[in-house]
Amino acid sequence: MITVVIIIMQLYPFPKPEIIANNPNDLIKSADVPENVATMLRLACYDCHSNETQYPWYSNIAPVKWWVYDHIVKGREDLNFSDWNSLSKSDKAEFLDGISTEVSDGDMPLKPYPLTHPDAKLSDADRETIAGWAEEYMEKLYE
Amino acid sequence: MKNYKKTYFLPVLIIGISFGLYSFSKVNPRNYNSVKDVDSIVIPAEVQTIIDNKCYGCHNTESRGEKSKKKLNFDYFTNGDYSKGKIISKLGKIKDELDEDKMPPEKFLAKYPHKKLTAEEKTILENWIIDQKKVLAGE
Ligand code: HEC
Ligand code: HEC
Repeated sequence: MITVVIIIMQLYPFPKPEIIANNPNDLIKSADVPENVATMLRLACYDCHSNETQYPWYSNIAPVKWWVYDHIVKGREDLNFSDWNSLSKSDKAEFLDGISTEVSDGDMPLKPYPLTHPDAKLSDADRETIAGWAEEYMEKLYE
Repeated sequence: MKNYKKTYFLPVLIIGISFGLYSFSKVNPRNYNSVKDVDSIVIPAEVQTIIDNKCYGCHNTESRGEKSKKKLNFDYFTNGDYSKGKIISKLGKIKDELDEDKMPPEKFLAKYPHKKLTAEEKTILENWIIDQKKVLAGE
């Protein structure tokens, strides 16, 4: 019975957010991001906030995929690092401010994410590093 | 030793005070100009009144709400704690909240309906934001 339900679930259409490999406006490509910060952003944020999502095998199976794809659609809609350099300066400032707040409050990455992606787990020191980078970048935008 | 103290105390005091007054009178106007003209936000009286009446209570250093003051603190606009980039970000975020009628929070307005922004106040705030973003960010 449960097998049948799961098979039927797979038939329910739910478009997979596309992967785009070449993103000339990408944050890490276009801005001068320190290497340690770039690595953390790639590991902890890029799956949901860039066009370069890496899908684990189970993320393509319903019902998991409904949940995962939804986060990716919403995450990219809100903040897409792949489009970074096409943003206006003041939009960049707002996003950097948001990153600083979300990361230092522990609201990002979304809580369940590090459970399945141990590399995405951020220590308090990591959070401070990312927030500090964001604050500094925000200041430099208008120097 | 006693004599020595007596002879030198008064002149040193006078020089000290004059020097203090001198640097005070020099630094003050210069700071005022550079801060006001170049880098800092200008908050006209009518805008300040709206902020004081409708927003400041939850968004200042002494506010009880941790979240509201962390996300936006009007004291930091003028005391130098917010960088220019941060001020520009906060202006954008205020605009977003106004566009969606999210501030003051609905729950709060249910208890204090007179705290709701009037259409006129909203327009004044919006025009102020557009103007300040132009001045500060050139956008
Ligand atoms: C598992 C997916 C996922 C991961 C990983 C993730 N986010 Fe998010 N993020 C979201 C979603 C979904 C939203 C949309 C808001 C919401 O629903 O909470 C969001 C919203 C945001 C916002 C608010 C954007 C705005 O509109 O101002 C910021 C900032 C943010 N994320 C930063 C980050 C950072 C920085 C990281 C890495 C440290 C990260 N996120 C990791 C899914 C994710
Ligand atoms: C009764 C308290 C209260 C009043 C009054 C109030 N706010 Fe807020 N404000 C909050 C709280 C609480 C939050 C945090 C909301 C959250 O993060 O869920 C907040 C958040 C904000 C944010 C940050 C939004 C973000 O996502 O970064 C802005 C901007 C803001 N308020 C603007 C205003 C303005 C403008 C006014 C006056 C017109 C105002 N607020 C009046 C309680 C208040």
